[in-house]
Amino acid sequence: MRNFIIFRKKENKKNTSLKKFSKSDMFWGYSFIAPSILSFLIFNFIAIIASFLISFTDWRLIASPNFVGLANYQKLFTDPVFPKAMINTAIYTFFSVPLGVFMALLLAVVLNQKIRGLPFFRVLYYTPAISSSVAVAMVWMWIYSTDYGILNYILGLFGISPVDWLNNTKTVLLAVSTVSIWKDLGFKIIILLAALQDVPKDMIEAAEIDGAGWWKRLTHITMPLISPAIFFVSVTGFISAIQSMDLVYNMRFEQDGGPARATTTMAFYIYQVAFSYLRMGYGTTLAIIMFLVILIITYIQWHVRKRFIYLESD
Amino acid sequence: MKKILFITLIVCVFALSACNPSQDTESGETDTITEGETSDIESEMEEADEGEADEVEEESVWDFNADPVTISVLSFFSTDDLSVEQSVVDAFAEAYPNINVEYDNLAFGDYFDFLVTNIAGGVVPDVMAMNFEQGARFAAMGALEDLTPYIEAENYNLDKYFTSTVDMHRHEGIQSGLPATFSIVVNFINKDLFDEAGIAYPDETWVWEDLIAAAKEMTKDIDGDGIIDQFGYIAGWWPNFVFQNGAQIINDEGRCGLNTPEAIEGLQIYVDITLDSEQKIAPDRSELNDAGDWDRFQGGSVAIIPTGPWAITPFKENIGDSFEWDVAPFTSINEPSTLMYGNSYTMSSTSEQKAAAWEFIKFATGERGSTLRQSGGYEISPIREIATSDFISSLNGVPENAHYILDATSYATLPCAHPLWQEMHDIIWPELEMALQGTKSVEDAMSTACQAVDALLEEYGY
Repeated sequence: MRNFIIFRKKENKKNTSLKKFSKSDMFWGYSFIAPSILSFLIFNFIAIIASFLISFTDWRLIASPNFVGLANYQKLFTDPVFPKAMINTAIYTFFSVPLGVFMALLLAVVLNQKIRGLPFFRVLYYTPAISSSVAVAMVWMWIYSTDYGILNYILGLFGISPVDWLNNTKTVLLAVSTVSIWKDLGFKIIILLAALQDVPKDMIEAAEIDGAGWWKRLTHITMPLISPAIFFVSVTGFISAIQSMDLVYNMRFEQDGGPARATTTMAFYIYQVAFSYLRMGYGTTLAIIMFLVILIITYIQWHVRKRFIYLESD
Repeated sequence: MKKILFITLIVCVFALSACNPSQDTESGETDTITEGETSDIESEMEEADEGEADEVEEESVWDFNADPVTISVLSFFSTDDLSVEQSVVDAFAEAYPNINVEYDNLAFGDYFDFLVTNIAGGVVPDVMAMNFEQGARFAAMGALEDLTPYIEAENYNLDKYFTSTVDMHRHEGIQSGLPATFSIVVNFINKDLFDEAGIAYPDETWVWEDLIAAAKEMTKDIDGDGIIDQFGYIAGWWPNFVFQNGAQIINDEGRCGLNTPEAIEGLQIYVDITLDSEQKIAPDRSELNDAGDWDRFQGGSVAIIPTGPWAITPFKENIGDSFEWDVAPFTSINEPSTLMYGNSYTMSSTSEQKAAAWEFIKFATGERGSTLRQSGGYEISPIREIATSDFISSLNGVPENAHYILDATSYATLPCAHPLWQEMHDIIWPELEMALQGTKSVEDAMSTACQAVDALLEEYGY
């Protein structure tokens, strides 16, 4: 900063207001945030506005778009796949996120203990998070395989007959969301572990001296202190689960959102409508609905957080 | 993040499309080949056997002294052996020194996504490979140049092609391309399994009951663990079960034909031979998830698999000497029928080098191009003379009875080539999947599917 100030003093003679601004600290501040603001405007904001506009057209990528008013939004009420995709996304999200956060919390607490080989376990749990989802899908397709899969083999040892996990409309969605729990666990654990390690030792010790047991210490000191981290992994978890597409796409040979549309999530359906049927207008309409759903859920989470999160003030 | 990427992509293509001149999608009266129509190839085939070869070189109007131009060509042909289609392009470059070709080849699975994104971005290849199903869609969207004026202007000889291979690329009155290859589904058999079971190899005299009996014999749980290890048959693509029982997917009135008794009966057979333990001769959906159909055949655990000539090269490579295999006629349920497909080279309606693009299309689908492609063993040449001579000889005796592939042209039908086919398929198939899992009757599934298909057709004015 000192350099800037010296620089400014030298140039101070000719004074137009623009020049003045260009030499001010504010100018430098804006310059520093410009790259991220510009990339947000170009790649996000304009894109969001554009897709909102496209949703009022019948654009098919190849021919020029025509304005069709609210036709695409009306189609939402007659399209039989749309409610199915919404329900599938809801099942996928409400199964994978709460369970995922709970398991991540459990494992983070365990990994926060003084146990042998801790770095090894941390690496182990983080590996799925950095693995390619295609590779993950391939491995899990083998695990779930009806006749040759290890899962059915283990169940067979207990006398349970083979389940056709990925080809049965009743099991496939939960099977895929289980994989997403497994895959996202590492990321959640890292965040929660960092929060756990920030919990002041003296507070824990003070509670211990006051006679608080292990459970009391966890629920009354640790949990409230890491609640912002739990909130963070829940919100990001919900957003990414609602947008999930890679696993439902890759875990089916046919990549068709099947069997019988059982794995057609919103994101998958948007992809199919926009890029397989080339109906950009209706595809962006669906994307806007998904955007609104995420917005509403995040808004609700944001507002209930005050009741559950310690040290939050608004 | 994915949403952001997705929206970014959308806005990019939106912004770029502004440079793309608007296209007129209005078209004349419909003149497509309806699916289910029997091809007229066989009679022509015989004609070619007897008749004289047509004159090879056409009169070209191309000015070889003009300034050099550059055309871009995108293809999905011969992705297994890229040198095959490359040799066609190289031969063209040699014959037309003042046309530079920027050639690119993409795998079929990625091809149409890539093409659409490029067209939307205004970067359109001058010449594009097309299959006849996608051709219907791209033509309906106005992306393809009608080649009729070019053909008429030069009086270009189309008689050298099998008529139906030319006609299958005519969509809504537009001749969208000239045929480069075609192929047809027949049965491929594992001769070792037939020998082992003491069953004679299938021939033209086989009827559906013969196939069922033989396949039943060869469907076995070899190691006795309750899992069937060897199958007699693979249930092929579902439209075939509709056609071979004399039904249509889209009927003559242009509406869904899958709720007719014939269609339901055909599809019921598909369900029964995979799902019903008494009638089972083929793997069901979940068994195919464990190991794909080709994998099973190449592994020697399937006796009969219906597939096309595109399987010959991979089968040769992957099966090697592990067992003897051959080609047999396609055995139909009721009416002799099998699926025929075809690919063409088409011209972009927005190309700036239409004259040069036309020269490329003529060359690549003409005698030189077709011969080179045929010698590489990629599908079958739509030029009668080349199909009857070069196709068989290019195989070097394996499979032994490859002539059955050409014979199949006598009973082949075209699958659905409707501009809305992709969407119709994605309505029909999930319903059929429920039937194939036994959670819905075929009749209920097809009645639901037909309602949705008809609603779709009405929505887009068909």
